[in-house]
Order: sequence, then structure tokens, then C-alpha cells
Amino acid sequence: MLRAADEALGSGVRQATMSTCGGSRPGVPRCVLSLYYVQKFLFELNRSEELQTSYWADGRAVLDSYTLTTEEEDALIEPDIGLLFHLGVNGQILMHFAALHQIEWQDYLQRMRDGIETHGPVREGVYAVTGYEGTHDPGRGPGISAGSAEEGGSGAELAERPGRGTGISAGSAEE
Amino acid sequence: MLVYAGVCSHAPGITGRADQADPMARDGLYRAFGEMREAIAASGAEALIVVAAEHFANFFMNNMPSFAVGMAEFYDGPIEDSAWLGIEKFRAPGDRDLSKRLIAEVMQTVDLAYAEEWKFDHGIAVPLHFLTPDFDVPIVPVNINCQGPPLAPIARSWALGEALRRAADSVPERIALIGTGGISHWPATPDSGKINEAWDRDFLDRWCRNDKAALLEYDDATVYADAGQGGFEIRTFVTVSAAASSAPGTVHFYEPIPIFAVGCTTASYDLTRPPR
Ligand SMILES: [Fe+2]
Repeated sequence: MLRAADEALGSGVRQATMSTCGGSRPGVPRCVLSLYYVQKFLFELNRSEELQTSYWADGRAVLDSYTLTTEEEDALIEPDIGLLFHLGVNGQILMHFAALHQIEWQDYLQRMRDGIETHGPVREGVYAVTGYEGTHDPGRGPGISAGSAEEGGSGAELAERPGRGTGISAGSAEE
Repeated sequence: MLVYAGVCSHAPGITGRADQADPMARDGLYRAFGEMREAIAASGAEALIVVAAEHFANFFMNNMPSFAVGMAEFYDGPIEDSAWLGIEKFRAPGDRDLSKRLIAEVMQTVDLAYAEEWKFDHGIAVPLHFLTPDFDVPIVPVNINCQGPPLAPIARSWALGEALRRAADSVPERIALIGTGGISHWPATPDSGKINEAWDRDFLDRWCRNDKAALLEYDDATVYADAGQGGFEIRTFVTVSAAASSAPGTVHFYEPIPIFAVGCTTASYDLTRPPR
């Protein structure tokens, strides 16, 4: 599973990430995937009204104490919900960040779909490791992984599992 | 002594997006929660153990316990924005001494983290909103990491359930135990609202039969493929199965409610009937 996801990530993605790395703090590695610190920041932001106040006052200054790439920092300031989801932020953390920015529920879901459409499959984290299921694109149909399927990874095998896609409520698209 | 064992859903939409749901389905679920509240009260429970799967409210990947138990005199919640969750800020009572005795017994067989500070998120706040709305029953929160892999194998959740049963039976207080979580769901992702009803019903069938082998068959890769990341939370249900020690179970309510993002469920074991 992990190896398939690794292959699905591919060297192209890694190089693209490397080229967008930034960070100005001395002694801090500049070109690392730092999903952990993106999520750490959001975890702390969700818990702390003081941090929220500081974030509203000067977000860049707050983010300076986390090891982030320029891409991640920009996404956290924007905020770019779609990009953050693509980078691999867990929805259980991301949804509160969206709510903090007064982004209502359906809009939040749409921004994640747009992020996958724009940037491609989730890059890292729990959704990528296990083979992200994909969006509501009717062209793809249920059970087709938007993630590793195209790369011939685990998603394609999973899509062949009998019974998948049956009995699945289409969900919020129906609402 | 364990006097009640059941499970229920905890999705934040149940309270936070109540106005967007089909009223019939929503009211049916709320009625089922009401019946669960009455059943817990009728059991004479003096404390409520809530086995939950929290969502980065207290525990994070900087120091993630597979299992944690609260040991505080009180617990504040919800950690989410009150308007977003549809639940006012509250302080739920704990019982530090009871927690300590339960923890000590569980630790005989299962390694635990304990926490003297714990803020409830929707994983506990939503069930309590319905089950102990007056916050008059001391809570012992138990958390199973279902969010940040690697996760403890489901067999360890079973072991935790057996240990919780032994611990509950070792104290004089009358103890109710509930597990809260989703069955299949894709919470807070673009697929929020998708529910694999066939998978849920099969799981609930195994749960009601309290079929240990069938419940321990699940592995995370398959669960993720068929039931989404939210499916990892079946650990909480399996823990209650183990605690119920072969008692037969009944599903009181099950209905996929997409805007709540989960097949909404209440179910319980009949601890007074002989094992199947
Ligand atoms: Fe949950």
C-alpha cells in the first residue's frame, strides 16, 4: 500500500515541490514536504483563540515559527482550501479552518473538489496513502480512484473490487 | 458494574446542519437518541464511559496515543465553534477517582495514556448533547486514535473493550458504556455525504451477532476502500462489542442521512440476556 502510494506520488510531484520550497529561517531545511507542520499550525489555531487573534493580526508573523514551504505559507494566508486539501491536510482539521474563515459547508466541499481538479490528487497524508477515492465527477463514476488509479497503483486494484459502488448514497450532490 | 453498552453516531452535522436535513429522517434519529437516553437512565448508570474517536482536538501527531483515558474532575466543550456545531459551550462533570480506578485496572492488560485535561469535540459533545443533556452524569472519556495512522490494529480495540469490561465490573458504581463513531463515511472530504449502506448493514450484522472473528476481519486498507477514512472509527464500536462479552445486540435506528455525512445509528447490547 505504502509503496504503491509512493510510486503514485512520483518524482515529478516531488521535484515540483522542491522548486517551490522557500523559508527564510536560518538553519531550517528549505526543501522538505512539511505537511506535518501545516497540520500542526491548524491544530493549534483551532484550539487557541489567542493564536487566532495573532493570525488575524499578522498571519505571516505567526507562520514564521512553523517549518513551512512558501507554497504552504501562502495557502494558509490566502486561504487556499483546495490547495491545502491537495497538499494532504486532514479534513477534520481543515473544516475548522474553513469555518474560521466563514466559508460555509457546501462552499468548503466545492473548494476541495476544485483543488483536486486544479492541482491533482492529494499529494500526501492519510488520503494519499490509502488511495483517495476521487471527486463527484460523474465521468469518473464511483469507485474510480482519482489518485493512484492512473498510475496503475493501488487505486486501480481497489476499483476492481466486486460490490464497490453499489449501495453507496451519492451524498451531498443530491442535497 | 457494567449496566449498559451501546453505540451511536457523533457526526457534527447531526447538530450543526440539522436545519438542512430531511426533517423526517432527522426527527427519527433524534427520537432514537431520546430512547437511548432513557435506556441509559433506566439502567441506573452512575457514570458514563464514552469511547470516542476524536478529531485532533486534544491528541495530535506530535504525541499520539493509540488509547487515552480522561482522569479529570471536569471536561469543557465543545472545542468547535458553538454556532458551527450547534451546541452551546458546556462543562461536563468528570470523576477523577473513578477514572483512576478504571485506568489502573485497564492497565493490567492494555497500555494507556491518561489525560487530566481534555476538551470534548463533536465526537463526545454530540452524543452527550442527546444522552446527558443536563450534564448530571460523570463522564469518563476514552479515545481511540482513528485519525492519524498508523492506528492500533482492531484486535487491540477488542482487547481494550475486554479490559474496560473487567474494569467496569471491578468498581461498585453502575457504569454505562457507549462507543461513538461513524460506520462508513468520508467526513470533511469532497466525498462528504457518501455512505456505503450495504457495508454498514453488514458491519452492524456482525456487531449484533457480536461475532469476534467477523469483527476482527477488518483491516484498514479494505476499510478505507469500502468505507472511507471515517470507517476507521469502527474501532469504537468493536471496543463496545468486546466489553459486552458475547451479549446479543440490536440496532434501534439506522438511516443514511447524507447531510449528516454518515449512516446514523443507535444500537445496544442486551447485557441481561445470555450470550448467543
Ligand atoms: Fe468522527
